[in-house]
Amino acid sequence: MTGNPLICVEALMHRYADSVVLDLPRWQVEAGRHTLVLGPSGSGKSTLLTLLAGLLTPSSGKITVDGFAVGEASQRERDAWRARKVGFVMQRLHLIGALTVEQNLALAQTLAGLPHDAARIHDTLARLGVGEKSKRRPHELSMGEAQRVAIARAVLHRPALLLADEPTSALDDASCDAALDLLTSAAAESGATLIVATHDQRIKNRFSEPLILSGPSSTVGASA
Amino acid sequence: MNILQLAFAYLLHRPWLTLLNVLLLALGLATLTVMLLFAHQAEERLRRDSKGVDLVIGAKGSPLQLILSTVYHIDVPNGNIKLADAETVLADPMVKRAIPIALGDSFKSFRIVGTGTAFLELQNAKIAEGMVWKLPLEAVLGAEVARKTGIKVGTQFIGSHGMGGGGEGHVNAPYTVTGILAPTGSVVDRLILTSVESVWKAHETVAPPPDLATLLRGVMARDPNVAPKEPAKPAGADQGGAAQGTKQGTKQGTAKDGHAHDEHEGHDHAAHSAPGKEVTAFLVQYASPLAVAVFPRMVQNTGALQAAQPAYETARLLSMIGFALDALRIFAGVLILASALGLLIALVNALNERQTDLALMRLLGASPLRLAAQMLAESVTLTLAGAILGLFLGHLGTHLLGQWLEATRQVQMTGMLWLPAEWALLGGALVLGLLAALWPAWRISRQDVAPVLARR
Repeated sequence: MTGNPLICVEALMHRYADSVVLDLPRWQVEAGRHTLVLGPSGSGKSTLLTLLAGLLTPSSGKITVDGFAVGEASQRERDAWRARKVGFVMQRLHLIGALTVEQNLALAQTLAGLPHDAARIHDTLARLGVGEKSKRRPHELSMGEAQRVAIARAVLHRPALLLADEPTSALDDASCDAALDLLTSAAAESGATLIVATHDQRIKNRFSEPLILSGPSSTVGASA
Repeated sequence: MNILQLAFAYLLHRPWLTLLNVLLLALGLATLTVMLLFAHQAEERLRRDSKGVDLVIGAKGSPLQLILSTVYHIDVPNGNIKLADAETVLADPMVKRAIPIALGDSFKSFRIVGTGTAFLELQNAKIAEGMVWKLPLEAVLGAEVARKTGIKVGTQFIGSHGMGGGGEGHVNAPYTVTGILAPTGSVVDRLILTSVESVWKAHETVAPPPDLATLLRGVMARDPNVAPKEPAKPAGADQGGAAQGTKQGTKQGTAKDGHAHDEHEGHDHAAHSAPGKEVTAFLVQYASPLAVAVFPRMVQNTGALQAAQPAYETARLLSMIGFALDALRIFAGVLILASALGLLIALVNALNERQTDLALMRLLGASPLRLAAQMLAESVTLTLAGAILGLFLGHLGTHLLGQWLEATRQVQMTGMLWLPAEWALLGGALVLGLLAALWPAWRISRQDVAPVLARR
């Protein structure tokens, strides 16, 4: 394979208390190759994503994302790096209820250390089909609209890595497809590599070479 | 979306809770502010009005009442003294200056005070229009009297018996206004000043028909401060001339220093020689501070006289008010403590409600410090709003209280005043806001994000 891998994981192990929740000897993802992380609940998918985002420090092993040694950096460095390089879409969408859609996105820009860019906000919302919802509050949005806003927020700062945790498990089949279309097109548009963690079997055919986690001992579904 | 904008958004997201917290704090601070303004102005006023008066000589009775009636003009006098009695003590070299005060009449509930022009000097009152009284039944109005009654220089008015107004009018002895004083901010603003002779004359020349006389006696029986004047009245016929006749004046012992006001005082005191004449009190200035050790006792031992020291009585009065002020202070303290607890509860609630919001902000790149700062900003915004509202309400309350007091008690009080101590209130409120947020902020900064985000 050509090019440097965007994600490079070596001998990664993470424990909560005494139990090992993630054991990943080796895993690489090339830039631009959208990848599925598949596995049942408790197989360590969410843990892998939070480790990739630098929200957790691994018990042992190495994680490098886009040349940045996530596992070894200080918390402050990781916060700053994550703000610039990582976009995150969660199953629970976590929009801030006190703020309008537009303000939610503006806050993301501020926290990422970017200048306020209203044009970018409106542009991103419009491209995801929720341009006219910018003055609404989260509780006034439908589930689908809220997800679009969450995706807009995740790609607003053009991250290198877009992480999605169970983005489809609450959706019906049609919405499930639409959500994945949105995610892939948003990732493509902002130049991000998409990593989707899910137990939703419906979407495994949309990605080649999924990483299949089955608990403490994991296997790579197909070698790269 | 900076820290403050987000703080506002969160506060406005729960408008009623925010309003309640702000109100709770505002009430406590308003109470403290009212107390501060009230105490300050009461003390200020008591000090200013009694400035330069070392001792008051008046009739036996309550010393506090004597001071309140003749220095502050808020109580009724406790009686009159005979000039002859006063003369003997005032002749003492320890007395630098003695200013007579003759009370008993009023006009539209403003007191008519028979005194000497030295009183104007003592109170630092300047004529704004017209000139000082010269002849009996000429009067000078305090600034507020002129403003409220609308009386102009050159016009006449009729004084009536008693302090509250509504007493019998001295129709045969109308006063002529010769001047109006510039505002002083002291009690003088609310007084009508004239010579002591005028007060005597007003009573002497009353020759009421029999039915009126009966009425008058009825009024006097109700009004104890008028009664002592009664003995002077029957002698009126032959004393009218005496008062006039002594206008050229025999120089009195009370006017020993060589100042220009000697002559005026001479006029007033000239009347002393008339037997049976009475005044309400003398305001005494000592020639030497040492007099304080000897002179009051000397006066106390002289017949029917009483000596009261404004400084001492004022302190006594303030200690009486002080009790009420302390109670108010404790009350305000409890209110503020309650508001601090309310604030803490609100913040801890917000913390629990917003765990996912806070975790999300960490995910979006906010440092733990940023989240702690967010909580502090919210708390301080809230307390600042409470403090500003509290100070505003406090000033408004004092202003309204002042208007009510002015209408009912003739006490001037304003809310249009900023005291340095109020900065301390503002600062204290901010510190309170910071303290209340300290623990929630610390908890936020220690929050582990991953489990919160992973929660399903």
